[in-house]
Amino acid sequence: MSRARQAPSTFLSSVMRIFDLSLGEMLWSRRTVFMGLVLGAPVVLALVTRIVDAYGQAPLSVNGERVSGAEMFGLLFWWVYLRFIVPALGIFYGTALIADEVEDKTITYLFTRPVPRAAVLLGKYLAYLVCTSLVVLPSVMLVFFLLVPLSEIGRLFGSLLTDLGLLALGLGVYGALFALVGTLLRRPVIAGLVFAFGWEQIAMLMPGYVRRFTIVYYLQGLVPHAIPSEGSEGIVSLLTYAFSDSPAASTCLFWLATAMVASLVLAARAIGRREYVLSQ
Amino acid sequence: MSKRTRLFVFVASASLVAGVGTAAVASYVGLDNIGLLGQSSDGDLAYVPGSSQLVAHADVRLLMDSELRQRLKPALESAAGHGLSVEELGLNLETDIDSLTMAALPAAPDAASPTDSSLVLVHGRFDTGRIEAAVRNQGGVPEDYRGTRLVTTDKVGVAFIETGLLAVGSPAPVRLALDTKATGSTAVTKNEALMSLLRRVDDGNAWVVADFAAMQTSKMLPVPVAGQLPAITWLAASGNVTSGVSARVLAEGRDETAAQDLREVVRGFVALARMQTGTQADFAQLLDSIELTSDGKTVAVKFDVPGQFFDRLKDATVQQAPVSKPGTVVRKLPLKPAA
Repeated sequence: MSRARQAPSTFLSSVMRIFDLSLGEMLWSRRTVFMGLVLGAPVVLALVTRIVDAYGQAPLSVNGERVSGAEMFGLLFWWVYLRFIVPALGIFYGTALIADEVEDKTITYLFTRPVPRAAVLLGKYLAYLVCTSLVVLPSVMLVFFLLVPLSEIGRLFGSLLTDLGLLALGLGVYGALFALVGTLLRRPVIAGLVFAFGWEQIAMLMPGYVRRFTIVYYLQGLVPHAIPSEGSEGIVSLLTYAFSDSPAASTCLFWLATAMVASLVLAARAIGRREYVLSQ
Repeated sequence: MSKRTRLFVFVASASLVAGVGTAAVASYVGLDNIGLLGQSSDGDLAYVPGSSQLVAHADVRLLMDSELRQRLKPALESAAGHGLSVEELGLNLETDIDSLTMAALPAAPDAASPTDSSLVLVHGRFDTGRIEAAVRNQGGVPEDYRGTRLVTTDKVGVAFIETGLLAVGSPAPVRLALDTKATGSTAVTKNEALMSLLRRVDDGNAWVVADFAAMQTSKMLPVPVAGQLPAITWLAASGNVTSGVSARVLAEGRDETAAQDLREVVRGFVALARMQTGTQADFAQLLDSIELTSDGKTVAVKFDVPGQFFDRLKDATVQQAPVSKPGTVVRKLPLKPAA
């Protein structure tokens, strides 16, 4: 009786209750196995590199020139983490925030609780952010310590912090965008895959303003790692081209924050107005 | 939140904090200084052979950016010679080189000069294609040596160790450096006597540690110079260049008597300098800053050279330059054109 007379829960407390409920569900789901496999690959690669290096061999050489550990970390960070893992996690977790509840026909139970619908979305989004960050960031940290020579760790501390912040930001933006996609579309995973691994890849290689309609363009502007100089061949020239047009850090942060907030607001509005008819 | 979820969150957060904390400590204190890594932490020294008689290091970036260097830049540029070999290789000392580590090895019996046995490890940003082309134009032959691209002529060898790191020197020392890195056991980091001195001086922008006794034995020093020096076994020096120069020199004598002799020599030099410079303020400041201490066989001299001292030297050099010979007629330019 006393509980019934308590003041109605605030929006924030509703968000926290949903967060509390969702975090465990997310962590101990089949998706975590997928995430573990995806994140384990760069760690294993870094470990092998370290072992090869310990035996006096060059783990990676370009034109007979050994690629340093710090540069290998930079390449791994950009191509594996930021260009693949972060969007992939955003797709598989972000689209599932609401879509899974609809598919499992459990969304009714959430919506019948005395919590605002927007709080459901936000609580689940926060759970996604904490769940993925707590797995991705330690993995990057491990790869950093495995690849970067110990004498250079101090010098690269600033860029490591930027890297970690960038990953958290990337997870936040992709997660918010794909949460919106998951709220609006019936087949959100396909749409997410087409956007992240189709549109963004092609747009980044196209000249002109097209690349400004991608998230990766703004993430790239914040990447601190030194990129090999011009005049090189193959992968190096591709990298040079890809990084040749980088916007200012403040511009990147503004558009990334705008994309994240706008996606969340639109997703919250969509979930608040939409009527979910669950097929039997 | 279930117990295992809480446990996961705690472990993941703790590992993240531990990683960031370690990197932060490395950034602010340096892992070497807290003794976690000992001697193997310095990547460059892993290439330096243990038989080295002299090891020196300069943080070129800090030296180039120092206030003193900026003040002396015009004078240094005018004094510099033309056709520097580093420029021929497409290197700009101002912008391309971050640090240099140099080692002098015992000269081979057939070596023409002591520099034939030197090794330099250079960190920076290089146009490796241009450097390789320059060496190959001199008859250089490329090869793969212990997984590293090495281009050698009869006199010079350049190893492209990794991006931003070159080993340059005579072919034999460069090969020896790659062997040293590969085996690990013969690096200079295993030379406890040298490393103990190095740890006392490696906090400077530039430092040098020399096995003086070995250099004298191998005749690396000119005989007249070696004969005049007290019985020094080890010499180490470091300098911090900012607006002026703070320097520290450590010398280890063969025994306590030699150390005492050395101390007296230094005292004598200081007294002589005081007599010569009289009341000149800059010199007085320099001489007043000299601290001479000794501990057993070791003598340490510490001094600060103020920036004004270098300004004065620069001015003196400029004033001395246009000295005309007696009897020379100096033709003045006409103020007005002749009517």
